Amino acid sequence: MAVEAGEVARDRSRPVWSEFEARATSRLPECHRLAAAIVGPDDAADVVQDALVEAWRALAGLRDPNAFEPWLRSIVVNRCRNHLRGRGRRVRTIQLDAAASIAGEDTGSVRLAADQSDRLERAFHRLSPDHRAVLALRFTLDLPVRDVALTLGVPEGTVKSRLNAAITRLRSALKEGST
Amino acid sequence: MTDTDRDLAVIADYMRRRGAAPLRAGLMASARARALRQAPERDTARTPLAAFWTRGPTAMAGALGALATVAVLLGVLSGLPLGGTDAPAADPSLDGQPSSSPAASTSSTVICGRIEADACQTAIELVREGHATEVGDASAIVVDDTCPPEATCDRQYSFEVAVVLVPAEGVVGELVALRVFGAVSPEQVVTWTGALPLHVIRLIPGALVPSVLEPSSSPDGQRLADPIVISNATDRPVTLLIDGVEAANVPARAEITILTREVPPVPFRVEARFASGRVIGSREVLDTRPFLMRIGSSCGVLDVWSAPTQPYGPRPDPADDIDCDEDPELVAVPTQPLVPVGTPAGCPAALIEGTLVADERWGVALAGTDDLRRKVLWPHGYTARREVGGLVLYEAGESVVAREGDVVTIGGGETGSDGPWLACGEINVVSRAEGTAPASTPSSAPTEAMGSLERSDLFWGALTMGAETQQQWPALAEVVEVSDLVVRGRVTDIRLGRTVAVAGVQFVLTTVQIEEVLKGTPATRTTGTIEVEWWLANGADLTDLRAQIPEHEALFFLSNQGLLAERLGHPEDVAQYRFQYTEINGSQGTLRDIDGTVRPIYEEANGWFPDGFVGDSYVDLVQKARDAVRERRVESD
Repeated sequence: MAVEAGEVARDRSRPVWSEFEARATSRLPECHRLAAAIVGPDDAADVVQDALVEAWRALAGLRDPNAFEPWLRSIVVNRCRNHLRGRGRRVRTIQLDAAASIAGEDTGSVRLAADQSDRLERAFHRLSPDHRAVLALRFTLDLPVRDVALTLGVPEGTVKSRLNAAITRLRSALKEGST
Repeated sequence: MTDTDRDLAVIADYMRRRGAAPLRAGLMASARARALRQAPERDTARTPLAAFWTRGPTAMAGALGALATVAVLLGVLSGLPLGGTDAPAADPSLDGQPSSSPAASTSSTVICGRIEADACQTAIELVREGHATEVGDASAIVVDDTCPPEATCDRQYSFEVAVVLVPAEGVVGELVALRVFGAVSPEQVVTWTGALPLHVIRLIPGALVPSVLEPSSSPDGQRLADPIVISNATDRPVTLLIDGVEAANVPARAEITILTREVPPVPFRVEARFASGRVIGSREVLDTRPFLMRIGSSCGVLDVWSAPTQPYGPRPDPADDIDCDEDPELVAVPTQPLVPVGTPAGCPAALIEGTLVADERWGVALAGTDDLRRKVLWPHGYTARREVGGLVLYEAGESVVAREGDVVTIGGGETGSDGPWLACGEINVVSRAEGTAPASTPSSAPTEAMGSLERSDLFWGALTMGAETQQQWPALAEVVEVSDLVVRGRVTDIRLGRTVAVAGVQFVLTTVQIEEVLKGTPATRTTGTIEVEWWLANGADLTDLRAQIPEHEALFFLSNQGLLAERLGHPEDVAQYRFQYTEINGSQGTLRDIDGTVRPIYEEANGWFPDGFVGDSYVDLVQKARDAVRERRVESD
């Protein structure tokens, strides 16, 4: 490798908060979207904050610096799991106004979108944390199956089967409403 | 568009909207505040890496003129008790101090080492509650993590710092040192007992640091006009030695500067080595003129230079490049320079006898009957290699000098009080090690009085899983599913593995004798066994661990590191690691059979499974794992 002395990088290769913050900040919107999709918008910020603290403390153990992104995502997913497990069952209500603002102004389509959203929301809350995670990674972050598998540390086949199971359940919820 | 496509589009849209929540302002700042309440154990190394002779007695006397401090520190180093006072006094305020360097009084210097300013200030304020006078009077306050730089410390409290109150110059008194600790931030203060760690002493202004080899030239010798800079553009760590003493450890693709005051007067010899101890270049520095030593290698260029600006020039001819590929089994041992400039003329006539032992710090060390280990500066060109039966010490990489476990006599002499042994005389083997058994005297060997769990904890407590993933799996079936290999087996051996010098991490490899394969096909070099990699906890002794290998069986849930490398997108590492395994995570990967019941290595792992299992029948657990494997097979069929 022909590297001239003048090109020497100043990377000290040690956990330094400013470097961690720079890397983590660039992933922050993604982490927040991921957490919001899995645990909901109310708790997303707390989960992400926990994940950042955990990631910082575990940073020295990250053997492959290039794996930072999937590693950080996996910590967020993990914190989401813990959060859901600790939270237990909680009654959730769907705000019609919120659904309407997403769906548009037309009254008929608002009702349809609100119904759909409500059914999806109920079905989503019945999903296990793992099923929520694959859906969020695949559709909220738009990651390919390979990256989802990398993040979760499971084989691609497992991701596909979980995705299939999760989608089937959500589809069933949609179908229930339309019959 | 089919119904399926439409449903999928609706679901995808729903998921995108779920994630569209607005990002809370100040999220990163909040995380920062929480995270830095506990500084990481390995943080920026603001302490100079350059070592020993930099503040020898002669240099220091001229530089300081603060003999009182010297006297105090000499007391510390020689093991005299440190003072801790209990009488609180008036409480001078910290008001008006800069947050980045929280001073204790207007005249004191505060050095926060690797501790963030907020935590540093909190620690000082906590100390002030019981030592207001000392804090107020201190000429300097030094705060640093008790864990040495580039080390991994397993300790009870994650936040633990040493706070040293240095008396005003001219005041002869005891140095006040305290230990401040807490779960995540400063909470309690106790008086420091025993000697201060070297890395803390180094931070104390004007501290006297024990010398391995005294400056080689006369005190009035001239010094370089410019600092020595090591620009390491290679992809591996490099150690720079000056007159045979480690002056700097430079990580891959990093640069470190050794200040002129930390460099001995000319003439001296600089020598660059890879972590294995292999010398890649050396040069005599005979006068104070600028110099450049440029070494080309197959893994990059290394520049060692002293000049007003970095010298530029052509890359060394690639035909002369040093081949970076090395024998992975080589072990670095400290050696003397080829021409020991200025070191004591001739060789002392003393003789030392001891047993050669593997040592994490020094590669090969000498253990005496008193169980103390001594660092040895081996003759130039000596290397060590891991072989069956233990380490073997080689002369110039060819002829065997001695093996681990051999009792040897070494001619030479001490370099300073309790310093390393300068092996400049004859080395003779007095008695050979029996078989391949390492000669060691475990300092914390299992005793008859210990229960099975306690004996097992002694071993497993020294091993830590590499934090490749934080993933937890909520059920045994999932643990089985994500494992590349599930086996029942027993640990039969442990040996040193790779070292990540930059992170201060030493890995070890345990050999596991397989009793039953529940899932997967073992990738193995020796039929019936596999190798599992762990982090070695800081301070753990490999020879002790060998004696502590537990007899019990365990159920291992493992990832193959070769497959892991492939999954992580590093096909180049697959071949190197395909015969190594690691736990799937730090708590669920090893479930021990302790007297017939299940015990994880870390008790908190019990909470990772929804129904727990600590204390359950080990036999039942194994059967459950078998069932999970069988069910998985049925599902996949």
